[in-house]
Amino acid sequence: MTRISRREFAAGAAGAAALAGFAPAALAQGRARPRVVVVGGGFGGATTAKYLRMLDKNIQVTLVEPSQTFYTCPFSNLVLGGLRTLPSIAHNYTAMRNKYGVNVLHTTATKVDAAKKTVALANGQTLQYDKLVLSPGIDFKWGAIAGYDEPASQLLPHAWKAGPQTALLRRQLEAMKDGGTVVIAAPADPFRCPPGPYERVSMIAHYLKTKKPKSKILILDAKDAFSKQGLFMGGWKALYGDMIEWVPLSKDGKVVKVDAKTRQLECELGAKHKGDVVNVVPPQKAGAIAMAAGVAQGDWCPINPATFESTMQKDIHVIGDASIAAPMPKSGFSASSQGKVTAAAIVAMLQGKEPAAASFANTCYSLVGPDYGISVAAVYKVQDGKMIAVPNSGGVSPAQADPAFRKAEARYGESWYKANTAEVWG
Amino acid sequence: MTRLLLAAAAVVAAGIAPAQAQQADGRILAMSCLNCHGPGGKSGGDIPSIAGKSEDFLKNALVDFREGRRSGNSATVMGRLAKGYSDDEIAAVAKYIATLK
Repeated sequence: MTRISRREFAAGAAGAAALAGFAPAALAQGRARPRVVVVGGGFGGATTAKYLRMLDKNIQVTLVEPSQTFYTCPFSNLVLGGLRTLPSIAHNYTAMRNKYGVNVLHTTATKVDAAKKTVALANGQTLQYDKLVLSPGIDFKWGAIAGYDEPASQLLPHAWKAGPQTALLRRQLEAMKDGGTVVIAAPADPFRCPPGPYERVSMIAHYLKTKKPKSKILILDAKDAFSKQGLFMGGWKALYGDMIEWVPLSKDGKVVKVDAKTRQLECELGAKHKGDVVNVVPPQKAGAIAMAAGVAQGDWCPINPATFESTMQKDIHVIGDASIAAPMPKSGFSASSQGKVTAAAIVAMLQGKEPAAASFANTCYSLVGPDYGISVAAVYKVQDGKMIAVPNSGGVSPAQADPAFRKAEARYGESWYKANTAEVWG
Repeated sequence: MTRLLLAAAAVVAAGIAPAQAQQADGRILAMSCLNCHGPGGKSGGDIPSIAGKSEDFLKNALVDFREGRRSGNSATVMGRLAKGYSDDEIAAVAKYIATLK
């Protein structure tokens, strides 16, 4: 009987395993240390990079993130409400580098060659990968609302990526006269952070109630229902009286056109509005690098929920907002949860082992008022190849609760932010 | 040689094909907990720390939450979350978290 080399055995095994769905050590064949590139240093990418290193120090991890300082969208609404400062929601990559040994590159990924397994960077480098994780977040569909392009967002902020946009919107609110109207255009599903626009309304309402009580808030919504709607509306009634008006899709709430210079908005069936401050949250899609890498089907990226590997390109995993992970919502918590499962799956795959059973969660707090918090919580798993919410579990805060309960949730939200960001960037 | 490769492939395929009911992995399950309870199970805020609690304490707490025996202002999301885990999963995650220092 002819002896076979280890290489031939591995190649044969890899072939058979590829049929079964996994390709083990062939990925890192002949290489002492596997290389994983992670694009995006937000909740998803930073978690993945850190956990890869925590789970297997043999893996070389490079994290590509344009910003040296990451401002979280979570709690950015509290900055708008005056409860927090922008620096207090800033995070850096010091621990990523020094504590976990991740190679952090502050540049942008521009191209992916899935066949050669390389990523081209704006700084001129090309990275080789055994596994690639894309966590690029969202990009905006400029022009989906006529007149709302990137230059328009400097006049009518989206503040749906935190940082300078948050500061811009806050400045506009501070400059607004008492008795003015703040208009928020909310998008149709799916979009980043389903309760986000309504927490924003809550936080702006808190600011206006304390500083400019004659002012009003108008929500023009491209849909007929929103996340935690009953809870938000109950809280608005309790805290803000009649300051807030919500116009759903069926009552002509869908904004189709804006004039950034005059701050006018036009809705689908003809209604026209003008705001003193206008916040447009436009339709969204997966971040550009996902499009460039060929892992998007339309606006978002299909994945295998057990490992978050793309169903379109082998050895590329897509996590966070960019991925199609429903019923998990597009949230920072979801992205981090997915990042951990993905890191564990990649470690297993690179070692030629079967990934452990995936388990995910999403717990999100929204602040309706300084002492009034609400939450949504859910557990997810993979069944028959599909992501499902575990039956008979999860849910939102009770519709009726005493002030002490609402205050407890406000305080837990604070604690949640601290834990979450420490888990991701600490 | 072909027979050996086929046999090897069968072994590999059998080992790697996902089982219908995979064993609960405490470490994977606990990953979801840390985003609220803090890195390594150590919270810096009002949410309680869980690192270093005994396996029994954690198991009983999770079961009590799941069965609705703990309510009130200190138990806001845990009842909803605990309902998402089976007995095996609760046992596995309690065992793992008890090892965190």
